[in-house]
Amino acid sequence: MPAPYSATDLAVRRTILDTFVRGGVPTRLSVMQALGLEYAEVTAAYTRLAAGHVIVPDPDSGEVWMAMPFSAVPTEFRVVVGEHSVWANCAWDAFGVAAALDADVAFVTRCPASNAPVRAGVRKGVAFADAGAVAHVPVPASRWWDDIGYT
Amino acid sequence: MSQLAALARRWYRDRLSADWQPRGREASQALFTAVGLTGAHWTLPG
Repeated sequence: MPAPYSATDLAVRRTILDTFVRGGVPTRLSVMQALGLEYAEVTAAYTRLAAGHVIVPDPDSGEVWMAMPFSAVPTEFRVVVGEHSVWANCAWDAFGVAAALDADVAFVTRCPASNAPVRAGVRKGVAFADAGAVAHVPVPASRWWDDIGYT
Repeated sequence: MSQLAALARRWYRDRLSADWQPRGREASQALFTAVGLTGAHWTLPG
């Protein structure tokens, strides 16, 4: 079983996710301010959450790059939720935004082979996609975390 | 796409729950199996 997280770890995780839900991008500073924590406490929580694949820090800045299903940087998966939008990491995560928020979503991405737009989402709780659209997961599950950015 | 959406629904539905806890390998593997994703390609590392 995965190691349990401390109350601080879980609060940091939740603050990160809530920021993404609001359409923002969390930073260590914003997490510190939201929770009244010291920099070292937030950094330590990031390290533990990253070890458990709960978040993915940017290797250069140390800020959150991904907190699945959300991405801090623009991707091919801009997911519209109501009046705002968030970035997801992949098609799986784009559908995951709908599941996490229990909301309808819509996204338009591109076919990597033809570059043609592909529309998909969840409407009234039911997933939809353009006819013939197929999602590929080329990396085997055993290797996903070798390079999660590529996966 | 529908299979991936079905997996995402199971995988992420507790992501914002107040009582969220990390999911273990076996539970994650079971979610793949539940939507028909089986075989070596979908086997998580031990």
